[in-house]
Amino acid sequence: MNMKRIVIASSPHIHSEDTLHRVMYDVVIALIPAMIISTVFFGLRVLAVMGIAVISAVLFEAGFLKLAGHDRIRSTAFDGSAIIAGLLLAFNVPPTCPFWIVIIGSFIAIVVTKHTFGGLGYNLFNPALVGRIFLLISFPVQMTAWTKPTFWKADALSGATPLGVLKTEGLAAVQDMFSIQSNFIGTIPGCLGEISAAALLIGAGYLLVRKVISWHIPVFFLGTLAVFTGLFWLIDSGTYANPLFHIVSGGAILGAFFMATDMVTSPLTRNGQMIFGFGCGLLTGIIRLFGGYPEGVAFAILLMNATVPLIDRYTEVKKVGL
Amino acid sequence: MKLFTFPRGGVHPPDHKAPSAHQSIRLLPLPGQVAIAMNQHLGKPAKCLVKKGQDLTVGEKIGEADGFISASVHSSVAGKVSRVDPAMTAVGTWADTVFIDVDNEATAAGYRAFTNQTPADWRQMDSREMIGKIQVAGIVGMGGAAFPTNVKLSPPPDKTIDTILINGAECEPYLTADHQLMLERSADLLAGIGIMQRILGIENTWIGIEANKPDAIAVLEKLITDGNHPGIRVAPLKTRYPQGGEKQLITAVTGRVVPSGKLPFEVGCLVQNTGTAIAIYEAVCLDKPLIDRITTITGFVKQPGNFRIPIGVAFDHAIDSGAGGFIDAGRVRAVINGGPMMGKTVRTIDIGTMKGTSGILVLADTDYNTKPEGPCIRCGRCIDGCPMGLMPTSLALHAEFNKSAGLKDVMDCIECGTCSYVCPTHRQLVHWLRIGKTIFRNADRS
Ligand code: SF4
Ligand code: SF4
Repeated sequence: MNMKRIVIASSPHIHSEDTLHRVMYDVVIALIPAMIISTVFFGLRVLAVMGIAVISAVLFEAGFLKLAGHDRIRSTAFDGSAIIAGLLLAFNVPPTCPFWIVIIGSFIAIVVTKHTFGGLGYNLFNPALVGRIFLLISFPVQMTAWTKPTFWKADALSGATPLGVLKTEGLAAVQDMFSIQSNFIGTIPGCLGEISAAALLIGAGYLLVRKVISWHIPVFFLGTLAVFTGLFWLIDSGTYANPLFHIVSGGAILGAFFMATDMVTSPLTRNGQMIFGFGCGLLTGIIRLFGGYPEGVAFAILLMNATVPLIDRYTEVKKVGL
Repeated sequence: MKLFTFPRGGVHPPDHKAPSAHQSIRLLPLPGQVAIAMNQHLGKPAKCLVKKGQDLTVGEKIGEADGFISASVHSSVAGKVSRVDPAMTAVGTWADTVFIDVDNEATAAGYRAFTNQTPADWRQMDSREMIGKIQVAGIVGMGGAAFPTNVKLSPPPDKTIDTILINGAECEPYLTADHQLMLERSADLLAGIGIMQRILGIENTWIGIEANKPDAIAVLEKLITDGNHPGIRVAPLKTRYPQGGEKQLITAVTGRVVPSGKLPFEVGCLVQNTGTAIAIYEAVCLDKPLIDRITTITGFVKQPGNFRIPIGVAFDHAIDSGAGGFIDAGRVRAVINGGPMMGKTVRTIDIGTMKGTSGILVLADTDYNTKPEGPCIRCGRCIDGCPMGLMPTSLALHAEFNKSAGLKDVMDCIECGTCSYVCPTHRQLVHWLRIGKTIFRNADRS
């Protein structure tokens, strides 16, 4: 009887349909609405930025794997994680960002942040965010050259982000220039992928329905941010912006649903995730209200990434029958 | 209808039960030879009692229980011993095995003799006598783990059992043997329960059945209302794997939690599988040893169904003569002794079935979607899925790096397979946890 390929294997012998590819490409799918809105508001150049970020990320990934003598290079490079890192990096730069800067960011994200720690699953920090912070510190001028979105092309006039205006000119100026609605829809200057809260929320809903992410981190992140900024707003609503403004501005939605929820760099258990989300929200609020930078999401998440091993240690699930 | 369920974790894999569900139990044509291993049960293998050339009758003892946790083994056929040799068994270990050339007519007559007699009345027997008969008959748990039944029925003197749980969950995908047993042999099942109640001197009994078997629930619920079955209730269970895990079933039905590292009698419970309860009836009332069992043969075979299989019939004979053979032998990837979640792949298909063979499952290349192991992406799904509240990913890492210090919880793993099943990077978590158990045991000893 021809049974050459009979396998001897450890149970279980069946597996759910879930694969790494499916998880990762679900995230890519969830980013599509924001990609569309960004292209509509800023013009075709942002497609080039995203394309270059993704292609360079995949190439850096493949190149590194080759140098490291890895087998299965193609399937690993296209497992979706490098594509997500590239896309999220693009989401975190201004639409006018020079291409060469994007490529540097991609290198920092993939090679320095991900692979020096051991590759997928082992990196402590979110690759795209390290890329963003590195670029922000190294190229402050290009990284804060904001343009106002108009349909299909970026306005040549430079603008400032709502959070930037808030930091430098105060609450009254922001209220003159931007409405909550424009923040929500995305007709504001800002990073390429973070302008439209609405588009991001559609994608976030998809991830929640597909159970790729759970509600714990985003809810605690945004909830804490809202409570923290809300307290100050209640005390002095002439100086401090209201919590809704803080949630729909800057990278809060993008960060809470797409970056803080990165599985590799967030805690394993639900309890840990709630602590993590709380920390992200609190740090974001502190930096926004009292820090030197107008925006604090990226710093907050990276700082909390560093605490994950500690959080994991103290939030192990309780075994049954103890 | 209120559905009972365990409180944490679990999965609901596609059940694939339709092909063999409601197929009435069929007999297999006898093979030319059977191979009966001495390690039919958990614990110490039996001591072989027979020699080459010896003539055997149906039900004759061929292996003597060796020690407290062990069980006797009997010939499932009439015939002549052709040889006694160590051989690979369906649980993956080697054991002394008796190969018997089958005498067809004498075998058929032997089985008829068991069924044609008038069953003895267990209500007239005392508990000692009944436990003795169960021990002599070599009854073991037939859900897969094969723990000697008489040991379970004799709790240490300082423990009292107040609840009997009959496990009719059959939560493993593909398997339908217990389901069919509950439909066709419900009266014998209730007699088996009556015997256990009498042995333990208690009445309180639950029959746990997953809600995907509504006909079995209905049949039993109707039967128990006739007044002759005091204390028996049916507990409909939510269809969720591993609902039939011993500890999960106890918590689902009684709300009690078996402490870590302890056995069910610690919380006053005795759990027996439906097939075991029927075997108990046969042992006590018919003096029939455990020489055959009901097994589902399913998956990539032409005619899936439920079969009464004499212990020791080879897998290939059962598949060919019972289930019509493989659909396409070239595409068969695995033949499993048991269900897909906890069963074991057999190395060759010419080895004998065992007392614990609840199913013979054939998986084709298309069913077998396990991919090469990837890195852990820390998604936490294995943790959410673990019914024992463990951290499979962390335990697996400690096992991989041979760190016994981090493995203190590994012994609580019931190897249900949920964690490996849900892992998106196909990590072989259960495999690593088994290795972890060995590492932990060795470290504990030294
Ligand atoms: S760790 Fe053990 S008990 Fe938990 S899901 Fe995995 S196999 Fe089941
Ligand atoms: S399910 Fe797999 S990838 Fe997810 S945490 Fe567990 S081991 Fe890691």
